[in-house]
Amino acid sequence: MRNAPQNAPRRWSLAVLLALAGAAASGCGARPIQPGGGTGGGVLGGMGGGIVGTGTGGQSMTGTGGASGVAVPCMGATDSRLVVADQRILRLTSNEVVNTVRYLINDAEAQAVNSDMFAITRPAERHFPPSDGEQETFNDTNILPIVALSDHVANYVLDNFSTLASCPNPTDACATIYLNKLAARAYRRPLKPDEQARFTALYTNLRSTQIVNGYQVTFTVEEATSYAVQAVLSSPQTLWRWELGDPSMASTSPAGIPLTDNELATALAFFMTDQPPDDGLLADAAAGRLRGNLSAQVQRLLQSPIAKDWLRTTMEYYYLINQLPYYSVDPTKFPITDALVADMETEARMFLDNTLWNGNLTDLLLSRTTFLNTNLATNIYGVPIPPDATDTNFTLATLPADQRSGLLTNAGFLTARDRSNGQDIVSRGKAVMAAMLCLTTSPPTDVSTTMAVMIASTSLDQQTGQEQVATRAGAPVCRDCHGMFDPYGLALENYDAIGRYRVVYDYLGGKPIDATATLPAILGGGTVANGVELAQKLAASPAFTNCLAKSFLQYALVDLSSYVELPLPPQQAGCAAADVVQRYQSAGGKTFSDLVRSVTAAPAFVLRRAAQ
Amino acid sequence: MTSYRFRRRAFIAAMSGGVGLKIMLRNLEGAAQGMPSPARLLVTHWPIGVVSGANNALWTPTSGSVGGSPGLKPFADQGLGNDMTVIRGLSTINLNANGGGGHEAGTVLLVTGRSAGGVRTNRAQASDAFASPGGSIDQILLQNVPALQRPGPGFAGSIADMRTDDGGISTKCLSYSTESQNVMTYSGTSATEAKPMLGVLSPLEQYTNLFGSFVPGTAGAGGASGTGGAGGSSSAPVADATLKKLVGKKSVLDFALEELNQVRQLAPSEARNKLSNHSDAILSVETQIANAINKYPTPGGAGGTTGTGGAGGTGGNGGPTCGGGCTTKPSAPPDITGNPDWNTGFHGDYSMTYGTMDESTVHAAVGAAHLGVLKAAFICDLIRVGTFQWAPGFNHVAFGGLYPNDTRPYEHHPTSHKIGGAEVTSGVTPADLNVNAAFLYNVQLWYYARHAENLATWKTAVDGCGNGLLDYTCVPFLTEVTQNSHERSNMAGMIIGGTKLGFQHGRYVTGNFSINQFWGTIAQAYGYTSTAAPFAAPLDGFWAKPA
Repeated sequence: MRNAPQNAPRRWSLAVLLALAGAAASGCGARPIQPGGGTGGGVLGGMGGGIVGTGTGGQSMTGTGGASGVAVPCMGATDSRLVVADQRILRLTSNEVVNTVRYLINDAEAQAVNSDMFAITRPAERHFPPSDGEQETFNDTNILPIVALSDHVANYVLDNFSTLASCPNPTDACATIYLNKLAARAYRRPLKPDEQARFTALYTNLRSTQIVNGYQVTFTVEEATSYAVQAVLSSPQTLWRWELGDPSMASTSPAGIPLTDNELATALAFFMTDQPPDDGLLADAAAGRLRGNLSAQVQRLLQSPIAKDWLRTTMEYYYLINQLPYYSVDPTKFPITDALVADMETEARMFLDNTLWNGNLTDLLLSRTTFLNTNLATNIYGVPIPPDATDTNFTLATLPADQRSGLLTNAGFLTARDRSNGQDIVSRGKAVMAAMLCLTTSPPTDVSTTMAVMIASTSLDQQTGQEQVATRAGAPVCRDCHGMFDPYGLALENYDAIGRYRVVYDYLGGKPIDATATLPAILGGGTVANGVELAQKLAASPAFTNCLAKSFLQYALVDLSSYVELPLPPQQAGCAAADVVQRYQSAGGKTFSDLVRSVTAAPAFVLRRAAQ
Repeated sequence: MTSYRFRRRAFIAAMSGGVGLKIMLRNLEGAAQGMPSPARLLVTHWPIGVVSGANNALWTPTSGSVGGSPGLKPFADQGLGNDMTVIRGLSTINLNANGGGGHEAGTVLLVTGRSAGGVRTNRAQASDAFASPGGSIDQILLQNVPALQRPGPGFAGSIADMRTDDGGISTKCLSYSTESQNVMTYSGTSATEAKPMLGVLSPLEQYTNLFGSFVPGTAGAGGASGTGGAGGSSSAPVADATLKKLVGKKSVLDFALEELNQVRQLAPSEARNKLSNHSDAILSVETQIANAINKYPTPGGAGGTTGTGGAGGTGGNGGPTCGGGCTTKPSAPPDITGNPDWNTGFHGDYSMTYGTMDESTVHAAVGAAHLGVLKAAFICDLIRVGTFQWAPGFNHVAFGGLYPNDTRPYEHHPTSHKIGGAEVTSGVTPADLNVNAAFLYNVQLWYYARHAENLATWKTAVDGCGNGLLDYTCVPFLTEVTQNSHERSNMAGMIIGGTKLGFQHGRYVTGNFSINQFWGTIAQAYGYTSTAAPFAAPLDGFWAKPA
């Protein structure tokens, strides 16, 4: 509470507190799955995107089922639920604007405008999907950074006119050639005749002598060009992505309006590279053959460093690796430093890069291959330093099979969501539930429960993990929600707040750690002994693939309001995501590239519903 | 302990080079010599109180107003000790926060001297206080003291960074109009509030607001302007760089508006709404630019010798204007600006105490640019009342190099929540402070150093009447809470400048003073002696009528 006196709370008996809370509370806010109960209150189908398990982007889901709470099964290729986004326009994210500057001008200017001064979201504050947290519309205040950014670019063009425009002499003819080319690239398609006419008129007027309030105003070629560039960067054709489609080619099975080739080029390019469409995409779009050539273009992009780098980056956002610099772990309790965290981020990035492009999708959970430097090998993973590894050189290493398995036991993945006090069952449990299963819950909202939780949290370091979980399982206000995610966190108790493997609780006099956990029904119930077994269960479960398909399709569709339902039979059909999964599996899918291909081939990606 | 001087060299370079406004003054012979300058008021603010150590060991001076005080050393270093009074003991607890938060209500109570009217509806928190009707102190004085009034805007409020936790108004607003408006409270009822007058974030925009139509050498409202030369060519004079830039920008925005108009016709309804909002946003900027262009006066015929401006006698609103001494239009500041507030989301997660870049250099440059514009406006007598806020109480500015043994750029307000009040009131030397308290202390010193550096230039600046600018300008320098734990009693404050207005400086004063008494003390220097709320009877010893 921001204005409360900053005093340490008293330690209350947890049981008393929870009993008191239970007298007043009505549960944590989540509704468990309700088979057979009217319009089923489904478990929330969003995904957490915040630090330490606090989710952003999760949404309450009411079941789409009929009177029994069971969803109508997907009806195959004709099902209208395969199309989830309406005809719409989408504002470019701040990073897409920077990349547009990179594409239109050069890397140096893009780096110059990639700054807080222009309200560009910092990498460590980006979410998944990247549009989350970005401005969706313009208003009097948030227009100013865009105006300032375009001003900066215009000044750069003015100062570097001859180089950028390739005009050794500043002539109107040369400037016009440069501007027309730039406008088409900015608009991501050829200009329409009326657009071209207005743009030409702008430059012409700027070059003419105007009388303004009795003063002569005349712009040089360079000045007029810089203002024309600024105008292009300020225009709606640049700042918005247009997805209105071609109604004349509307399909009926499923019902939807196909994106035009130019719109598809833009959608594909931003999805796979976060950049405007390149010349290859634009050429196919201009020739009207992109839709027929889509899979070939996807394959081309998948082999490009830009796409590989960007898609891996999106997965860093998805698993919160990018938020490692904002770690909460207390450096007075654990030997964590900025340098160590930077090493973790590098390792996680290299792990993702290797797994996504060289492994199977399930390797995200199962692979023990990673890349370590001396610091991580010695101080975190406790393994021999791999050959050629140094402080700055990360080399291939294989982690112990009984201790490590994929992301769940990766130091960066764990540290990014760990709390300052090292009591992480809840934060990790919620993170696993969100990231691997696409499920989330709401925190309690009633004051008494909130107070009880806050005060009880001060006693966690006096209990083992099993004791903590058992206490919550015994409290009516806690067990329904905590039962859904505590087992995942408990299974990861063998890893401390910075991901080191441990078998005893140092702060409890050396009590042995028991990470045995009984899994929720969504993973088939049953027991796992540790994080390695948990990873294996997740990898074998269709829920993992369903979640990734839903998440990636959601990202491809950009806007969270075009909501992609999680396939969660029988309560939720999740037809659009289920279609992606089906494409993925029918193509013998195993890899991340297969998933990307499946997303881009899905009706949800290429079709839009008619807007009302 | 990291010295607050860490960025001083860069700052000075910024001030004198790109930021400094060059103003050439010419004393009008026989006109301005010996003439007293008009009284001026600049209300200024720094965020989150002070770190004063055990029994104020880091605060209390041993001589004069600032001598020997570690915490006030930046003012001593700039030789401002005899130009200021430091106070410990201001209080706003006699006023009611009415649900407002520590920083939120603190700021409202500080600048209005009235209890908050309540809390307004807000996207995140029920703590954004709104001001009761009646206006802030600066606006009350502006309205009631003719000698403070000038033609045109007559007032300028500036702010160097606007970020808050939740988009609330109260912490980023120092001025409230004497006009009222309806406000929706957090509980959903309608109430009446004093209209907030948010500061301008961009120094260049503020410069354009103030100097857009400024013509050097023009007499004050009472003077007769010279006649232009007769005959000569009818060709229009060439626009200066500022007007050209405005015209260019307007062309850009007009183009964008036309494109929006065109594409909106093709879009479905929800998309049309988004494009309408986009249009409105562009139009708001375009309108400002159009207004700035329109303020450029139509030039007379070229050729011939223009007449000299009138000798600037008593201005239309009484008192000397001295504006005629400002014979060259000040240069525009650089086009840098502070961070605007976020429009969405809640940014009060205090587990994230640091950003990814050190913002202190830019923050210093923006502050210097703002104070430079205000200084020029005072010297040219365009305004006599202004406000300047470094940052809201929810200060998100990130400072690198100020956290002990840690180069990360820590954010001011989030870090203030890492500790309680006990940590900032313990320790007798800076080295005794815990790391978070030390950071807060260093930030305090940083703000004091920046403020002192800027006001030192006001001390040496000469206004249009040939007098020292600071001597005729009272600069209250205040903060909205006592310290990081949000108390509102025993607060620190300063009165800087205005020695020629009668302020008795070079003193350190402790006691228990209401903010109403403080403002009553200030107001008397402008001839405003009412003790009706929000003013109270002045404190003794702070002011004496000038001879």
